[in-house]
Amino acid sequence: MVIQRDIKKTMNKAKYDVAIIGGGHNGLTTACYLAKAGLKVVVVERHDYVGGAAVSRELHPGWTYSNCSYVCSLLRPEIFRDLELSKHGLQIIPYEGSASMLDDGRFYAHYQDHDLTYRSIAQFSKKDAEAYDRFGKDVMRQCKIIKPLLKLTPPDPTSFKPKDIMGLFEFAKYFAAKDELGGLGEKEIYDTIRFWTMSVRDYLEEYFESDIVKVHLAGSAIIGTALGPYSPGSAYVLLHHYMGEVDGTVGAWGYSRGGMGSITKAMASSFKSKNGEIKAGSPVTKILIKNNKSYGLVLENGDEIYADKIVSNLDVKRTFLKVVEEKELPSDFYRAVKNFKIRGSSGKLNIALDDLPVWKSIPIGDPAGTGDLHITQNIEEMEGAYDDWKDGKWSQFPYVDMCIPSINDPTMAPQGKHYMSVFIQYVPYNLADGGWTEEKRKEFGKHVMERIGNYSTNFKDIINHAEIRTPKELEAEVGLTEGNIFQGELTMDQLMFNRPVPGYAQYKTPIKNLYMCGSSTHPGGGVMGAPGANAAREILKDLNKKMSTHYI
Amino acid sequence: MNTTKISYKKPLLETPFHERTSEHCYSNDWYRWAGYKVAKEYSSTELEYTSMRNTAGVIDITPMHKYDIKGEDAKNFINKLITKDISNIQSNQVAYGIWCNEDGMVIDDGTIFCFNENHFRIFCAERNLNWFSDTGTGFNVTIEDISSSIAALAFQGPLSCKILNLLQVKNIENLKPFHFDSYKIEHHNVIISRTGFSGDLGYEIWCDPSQAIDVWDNLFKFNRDYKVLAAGMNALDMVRIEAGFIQPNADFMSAEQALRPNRMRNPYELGLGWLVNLDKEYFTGKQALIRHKEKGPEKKLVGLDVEGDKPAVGSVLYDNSKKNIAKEIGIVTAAMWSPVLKSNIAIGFVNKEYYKLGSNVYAEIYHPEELDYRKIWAECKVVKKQFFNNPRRNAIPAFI
Amino acid sequence: MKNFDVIIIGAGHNGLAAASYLSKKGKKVLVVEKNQNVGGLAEYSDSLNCVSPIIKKELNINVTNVDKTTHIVSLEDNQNHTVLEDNNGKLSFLKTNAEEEDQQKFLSIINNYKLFSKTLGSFMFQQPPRVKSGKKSDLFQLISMGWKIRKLGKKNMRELLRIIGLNIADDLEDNLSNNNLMGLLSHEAVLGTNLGPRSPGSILTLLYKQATNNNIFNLKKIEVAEYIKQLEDCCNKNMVEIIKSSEVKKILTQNNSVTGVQLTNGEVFESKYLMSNADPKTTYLNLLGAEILDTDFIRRVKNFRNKGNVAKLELVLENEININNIDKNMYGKFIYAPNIKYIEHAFNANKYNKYSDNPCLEFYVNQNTISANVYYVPYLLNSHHEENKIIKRCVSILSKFIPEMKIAKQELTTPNKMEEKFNIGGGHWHHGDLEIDQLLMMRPFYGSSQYSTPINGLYLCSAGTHPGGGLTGINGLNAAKKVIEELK
Repeated sequence: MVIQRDIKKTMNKAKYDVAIIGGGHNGLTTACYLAKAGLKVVVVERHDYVGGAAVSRELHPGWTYSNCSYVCSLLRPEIFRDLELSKHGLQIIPYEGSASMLDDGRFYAHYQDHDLTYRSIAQFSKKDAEAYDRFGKDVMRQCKIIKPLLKLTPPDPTSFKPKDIMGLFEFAKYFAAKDELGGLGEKEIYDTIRFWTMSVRDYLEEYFESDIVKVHLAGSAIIGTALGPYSPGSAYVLLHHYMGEVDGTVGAWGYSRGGMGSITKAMASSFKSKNGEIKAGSPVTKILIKNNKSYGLVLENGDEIYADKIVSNLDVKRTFLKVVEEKELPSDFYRAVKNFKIRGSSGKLNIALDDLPVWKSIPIGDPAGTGDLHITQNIEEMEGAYDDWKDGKWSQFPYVDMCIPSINDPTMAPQGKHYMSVFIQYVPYNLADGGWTEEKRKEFGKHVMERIGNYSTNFKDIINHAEIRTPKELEAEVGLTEGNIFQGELTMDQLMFNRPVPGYAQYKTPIKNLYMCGSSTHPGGGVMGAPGANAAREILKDLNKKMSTHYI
Repeated sequence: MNTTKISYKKPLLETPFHERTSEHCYSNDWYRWAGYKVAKEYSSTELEYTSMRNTAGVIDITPMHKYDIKGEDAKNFINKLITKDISNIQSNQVAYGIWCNEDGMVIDDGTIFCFNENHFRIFCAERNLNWFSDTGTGFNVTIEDISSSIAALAFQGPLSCKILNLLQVKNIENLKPFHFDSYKIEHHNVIISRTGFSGDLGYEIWCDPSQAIDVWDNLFKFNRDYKVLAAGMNALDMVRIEAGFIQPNADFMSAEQALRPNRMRNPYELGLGWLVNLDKEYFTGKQALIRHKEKGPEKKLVGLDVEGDKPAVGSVLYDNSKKNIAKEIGIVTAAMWSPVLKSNIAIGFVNKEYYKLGSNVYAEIYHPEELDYRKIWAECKVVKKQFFNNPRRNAIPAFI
Repeated sequence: MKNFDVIIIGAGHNGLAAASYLSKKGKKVLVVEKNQNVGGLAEYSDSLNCVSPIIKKELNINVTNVDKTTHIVSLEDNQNHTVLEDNNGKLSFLKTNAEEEDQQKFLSIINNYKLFSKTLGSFMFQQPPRVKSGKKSDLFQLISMGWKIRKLGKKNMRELLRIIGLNIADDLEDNLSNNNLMGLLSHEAVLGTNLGPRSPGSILTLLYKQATNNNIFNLKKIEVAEYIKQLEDCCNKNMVEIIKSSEVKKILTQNNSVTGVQLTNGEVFESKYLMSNADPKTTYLNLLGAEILDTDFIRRVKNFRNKGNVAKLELVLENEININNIDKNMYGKFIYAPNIKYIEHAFNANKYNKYSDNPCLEFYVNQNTISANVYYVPYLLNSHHEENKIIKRCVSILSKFIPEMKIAKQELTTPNKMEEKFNIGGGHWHHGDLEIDQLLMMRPFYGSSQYSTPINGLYLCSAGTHPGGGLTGINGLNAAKKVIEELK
C-alpha cells in the first residue's frame, strides 16, 4: 500500500490553495466563497455527483427523488445572493402550510392565509387559535435573537484572547443591549433562557390546550433529533425549522424546483463559474499530516492531492475517526470526538406514485393537502414513538412528515404521476434485536406505508416504487455518521461554543491548516449554508484575505 | 353564521350584511377585519365621510369582537381587567376602558356594556379571549366569545336620531350618551347604544344575524329625503382621526402582540391617563402604572395642527424650523386633511419637551404629486387630539 | 388580636429556620402550622447528610453527627450487589462485580462532579442575582459567578459548560460499562425530579443536589427529627410563638401590601410582614388569590411545573429483615435502580401520568421496618392511585432481596396525599421541578425571584425558591435576611 502510493505520488501531483472534502451544500458554500476570493479550490467528492444530503436522484426511471433533505427554507438569503444561485438556475417554489391527519377523520391545518389558519385552529379550540398568534410572536422574537448569532463564529468563553472577549460581548449584545428589538428586558431574557432549555411540550403547554395543536407544532422540534417532545432542550430545535424564509416570507418553506439537488447543482455551477474544480467519484481515505500540519489528501485510488488548507465537510466523527489517524490527535480531543453525540433517529421513504393519493380526511383540492402532511395524534403518542426508539425499535406509531413535491413541480415525476417524500421519526441506527437486515428494512417500510395507508383510500394501490431508507442507508450513501441528518445532535451540550467540541467551535481543529465546515459546526444542521460560510470567513481571516460579500 | 365551518375557497367570512354591502360596494375593495370582509370604500370615501358628518352613515362593524362576561364576580372581574373604576356603573350604561399588562402597557380598548351586576359585554377591536380567560382566574365568571352571534352596525351622523325616530324607535332621542337599551326596529328586537367612533351624534345597533338585512334596509328607508350612505373603513378612519380616537396596531402596538418590547405604550404616553384610576384597590398593571405616572411619559401621543393642506402621512417630526440642524423628536401615526374642519390634522408621538399644548414642531412631508414627491417642511402646533367635538354628540334629547 | 413583626405560614424546616433567624434578631414572630407537628415534609426525609455550615453558624444549631449510614448498597437482580462506603466524603468499593477500571472511572466521575458542584455551591447559598435588574449588586454578583466558573481553568470550565446541558446517561455511557454503577448514579440524578436518565439537564440536577447536600449520595448522618427539634428549640428560646393545628385560610392585603392572615377558624393576626413557607402555587393561587395578581403573573404561576412523582412507602414486618447476600454491617442506604434502561422505563410511565409497573426504590432498613422512596409515582390530577397495586409491586421487588417478608403494617404516601397533608401543591419534594428554567433567579419565576413577591411585605421562603428543596434551611434563612433588610 505504502509503496503503491509512492509510485502514484510521482504520477499525480496537483497543488491547490484549498481542498474541500465532501461536496455537500456546506462544502460547496465554503468552496464558492473561497473561489470568489481568488483561491484555487478543489472539492473532492466521493460520489459521481455532488450535493451530499441535498440531492435529486433518479432512483426509479422517470422519477426524481429528493432522497435526503426534501424542503428548503433555511438557506441564508445572503448566501443565496452572494453565490448568485438564482442566476445559476435555482428556483424555489413556496408551498401551502401543513396539515395533521387525525384518526377520527378530521384534519388540522395551517394555511398561508392567516384568517384561514385561525378558523382552522378554532375548530379545535378558539383559545388556541388566538394563542397561536402570541406563540408565533414569541417564537419570532427568538428567531430575531438567534439570526445574528448564526453568522457569528462562537467565541470561546474560556479564552482571554481579545477576539473571544469581544465575541462574548457581541453575543451578550444581542441579548441585553440595544438592537433591532430595542434591547431585551429582564423578562425577555428569562423568556429566552426558558425557550432554549425547556422541553417543547412544556413550552407549548404554556400556550395551548388542544392536543392536536400542540403535537402539530411539536413536530418541528423533534425532526432529526434524538429527543422526544418531553426532553428538555427540544423547544430550541423549533428554531431550526422556524427561522427560515422563502423570498422574504419568514417561516415559510418551499420546494426547490427539480428537487433539493437543484440547490447544490446551482452552487456547483456558481463554484465552477469562479474557476473552481470538482473532483467527483474520488473518495478520500486519508488526510496527510506532518508535524501536526495537514498538507494533502489521499484518494481511494491512491492519488494524492496537495493543498495549503484542507476543509472537511464530513461530520466531525467521520473526519477524525475515519480520515485522520488517531495518533495525529490530542487524546482529549479524540475522546471528545468519540463522545460526540450523533444519533440516527430518522428514516425516509421515497415513493413513486401512479396517482395522487386521496386522503380520508383532507378533501381533494384543499390546499392543506399540498403542503407537509403529518400523521400524529397527540403529544403522548409522539413521545411514545421516542420511547420505542430509546429501546432500539422503530416507532410503533411513528411521526410521519410527508410531502408531494410533484404537485407543484411536475419535473419530479412523469406526467400525471407523483413523487412523495416521507420522513419518519423515530428509527434507530441500531436495532436492539440484532441489527438491521434486508427483511427488517422492508418490514419497516411496510410498517410506515401501512400507517400512511390507513389515512388514505387509494395509497396502497398507487405505489409504483418505494425506496426505504433507515439511518444505515443514510450513513452508507451520504456518509453521515449513524445517519444523523444534522451531523450531530442539537442539544445544549453541543450548541454554540460547544459545537462540535468545546474549544474547537471556531471551525478550526487541533491540526493546523485543517478546518471543518459541515453541520457538525455552529450553527448546526439544515440546508442553511451558514456553517460553510462561517468556515470560509475563518479561513480567509487566517489567510489575511479580505473580501466584500453580503454574508462575510 | 357558523365560524367553525371553514372553506379554503373562501378564506374570508361574510358578515350577515354582506348581501347588501356587496351590492353597495362598487369598488369591490375589501378590508380584512378579524377574518371578515368589510368594505374599505364603497364608491367614494369622501362621499361616505360626508354622509357621516352631514346626514348619517352606516358602517358594518360586525367583525368587532364581543365577549359576554357572566357570573357573580362579573363586576369584580371587569374592575380587575380595566384601569378605570366601574364600581358605580348602572345597568344600561356603557363604559369606555382600556386594559394593560403587568408592565402597564396597553393591550386594547373597548366599550363595556352593563346589563346588570352579573352580566357585562365587552366590545373590542382585537381578540382577547386568552387575556380575559387568564384574567378571570380566581373569579366566579364565565367568559364567552359571542362575536359571531351578533350582527352590528354603526349608524353615525347628525341625522341618525332623526331617522331612527322616523322608524318609530320609541324614545330614542332620550337615550343618553354612553347608554344603551332594547328597542324595536319594525318588529325586530335590537339593542341600540349611543356610542360610536365619529365624535358626533351616533348610535350602534346590535341585532341577531337573522334580522341583519331587514335592519339594514330600514336604515335606508328614507333615502328619498335623507341621504344615508353605507360608509367604508376608510371613511371611518377619517372620522375617528377627527374625533381623536386611537386604534391599537395603528397608533400603537397592542402589548399582547408587539414583537419588540420597546414598541409597547402605556396609557400616559397615549394620552389616556384619564382612564387610569390609581385609587382603585387593584387592577392588572396598577403597580407599573404608579411608576409610569411618577416618571411621566418620555413621549406622548398628541394632536397636531399641520401647516398647509398636504397630509403629513408617516412624517418624521423635528424640533427646528431649520432643516439642517433639526433633531428627530417624533413620528406621525395618522394624518389627513379634515374636510369638515378645513384643516390639516395629524396624530403623532412627540418627545417629552414637546407635548405641551401649543408647542411647535416640524414635519417633513413627502407629498406625492404626479409621480414625484414634493418635500414639504411644515410647521405643526401641538393641540388636543380631539379635533372634532360637536355639542350634538352629548345633547339630550338628541338632535332630531 | 395580636400584632407581630413577622408572621410565617408553615412550620416546615425553612419556616423554622426563618423564624429562628428573625427571632434571634429580636423580631416578634408568629408561626402558623397546619399540622400538629412542626417540620412538615422533613418527616418524610430519611436522609440528612449535614446541616449547612451557614445554618450552624447563624442559628447555633449543633447536631451530633450520628454517623448512622456510611454504606450505599446498589441492589441487583442477580444478587451481585455493589456496596460503597462513604468515609467522610471519600468513597470506596467494599463489594462489586464491576471491573477495576470501571470502579476507578466511577470514582473519578464523582470527583469531577464534586469539583463542579463545589463551584456551583459557592453561589448556591446566597440570594441569586437577577439579570439586568439595573442594580449594581446583582451585576457584581453575576460577574463574580462568571469569574468563579472561569477559575475552574480552561479544561474544567469547558467540561462544565458542556455537561450542564447534558443528560446523565450519555456521560456515564461514555465513561463506564457497568450497568449497576450507571444505574446507581443515574438514580441520584433523577430522584425527586421530573427527568429520566436520558433527559437533558439530569447532570445539572445531580450537581445541584450535590451542592446543596454537600454529598452526592445524600446519606443519613444526622437524625432529621433532632435537627427539626433543634430548630424548634431555637424558636422557642427566642420567644417565637408557634401555633399548631391551625390553618391559614387567606393572606390579607390592602393596597398591595400585606396586613395579616386569617385562619380557617376565622381568627385574624396582623402583621406588615409575612413569609410563606407554602409552595409558590399554593401561596399565590390559594392563600393570596389570583384576583389581586396581574394576569401575566398568574400565567407564570400556572406554568410553574410542580408535579411530584415520589411516593413514600413504610413497611413494618413481623420478622427481622435480612437482605440476601449482604452482611448486616454493610446495611445502609439501599438503592434499587439496577440500570439506566430500568430507570428510563420507570420514567416513561411517569410522562403519561401513569405510575411505573417496575418502579425504582431507595430505602432504609431498621430491624423490622423499611422506609422507602418509590418513583415514579406521579401526582394525579383527575384520578387516584391504586395504592395496593403499587405496594404489591414494591413488595414483590423487595422480596427479590428479602427472602422473608411477613407484612404487619403498610402505608403508602403518594404525592396526592403529601399535597393533602402538607398543603404542597402537586406533592413535589422540591415544590417545583429543578430544571434550568426554574432555577436560580428564575426560581420560581420572573416577578417572584429573590424571595420577593409582587405584594409588599410578602416573602416566599419555601423550597419553591432558590436553592430549591433539600433540608438546607437556606431558603428560609435567605428570605429572613431579606425581611430584616426591609425592616431596617
